[in-house]
Amino acid sequence: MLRVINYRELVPRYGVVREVAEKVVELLRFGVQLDVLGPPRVGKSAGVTLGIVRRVVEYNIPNYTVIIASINRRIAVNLYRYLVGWWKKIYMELRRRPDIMLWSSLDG
Amino acid sequence: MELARRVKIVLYLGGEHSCLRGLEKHSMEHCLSCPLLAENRRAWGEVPKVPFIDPWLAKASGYCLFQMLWSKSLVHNSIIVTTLNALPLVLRAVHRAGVTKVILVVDEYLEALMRSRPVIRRVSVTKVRSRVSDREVVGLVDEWNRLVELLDRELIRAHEEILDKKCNGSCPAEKLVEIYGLWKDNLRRNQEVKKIIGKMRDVVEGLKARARGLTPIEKLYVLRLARRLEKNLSLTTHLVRQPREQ
Repeated sequence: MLRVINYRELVPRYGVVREVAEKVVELLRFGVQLDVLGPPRVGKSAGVTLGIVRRVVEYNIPNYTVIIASINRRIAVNLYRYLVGWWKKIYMELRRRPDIMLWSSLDG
Repeated sequence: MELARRVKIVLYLGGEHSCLRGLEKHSMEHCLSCPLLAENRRAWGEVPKVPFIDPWLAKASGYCLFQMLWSKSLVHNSIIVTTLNALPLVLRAVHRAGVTKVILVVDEYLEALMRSRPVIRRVSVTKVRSRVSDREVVGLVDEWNRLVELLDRELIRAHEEILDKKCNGSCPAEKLVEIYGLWKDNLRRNQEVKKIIGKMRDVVEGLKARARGLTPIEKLYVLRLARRLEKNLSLTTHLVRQPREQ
């Protein structure tokens, strides 16, 4: 039985994720340190990872490397899963509307 | 595909997760004398054009992720997820590839800071007694353990006082950063803690002085113990050991 999964149901506080991602896209510059602090399980890590993928794709940065360091292997695998999910989301959007590169209009 | 060329995601865990022979602990000799490296040196230099590379996928396709990390095409235009233990290796690979635009994200940063901080711990008396048969050394170790308990009690009391004063017993999220900052400073501010640390320094000096009169093997052990204790003492930051819940 094929079931269509809506990712907004899986991530209950998607609003926080989108907010953090937009802040990261807006504020991230080279030579700047950003601190994200909040209660557990509201989507800080998800927001930061989405923000970084969006920033890289949106601003078309050439020749970069992003290193994401976590404290243990379990969390590293989780972050990898997040990133694969965001990559797939962006890929689907690009395939649907290849001409659009304004990401702020995609989320609404 | 455009996006796969622009963003590729790599998971590097190190250890047995990326070794085709399943070796958990590596040294340089293991990798240099690896029989698989001689066969596949050229193949491992070229990274397959896929957007996601994880250790299990790489192992199943016959690639050594450790060797692949040195190729430029893996590091350029990629997001590398690692653990903090493997971070120096990845940073060196990035440096070698000549990438100038690097974004470093550290997840659970406060937790990592707390964990990487050396803690003043008790020393097991039975372990010392099995190595050294000198009564004075054992007495000094007993004294050290007593001082550690005293320090723990004093630090817990001081932190409870700070918590009470700052946020009335509860701890809101915005106060967290301030409290972590205060925890860093606790030894410089508190007079009682300073006194206990002074006594601990005396114990370390006593151990060093006593070590000269022992047999060579015992001397090495006691000197190593004293050096370890001194290294922990020289830092001004300490972690409060919470009583374990039953």
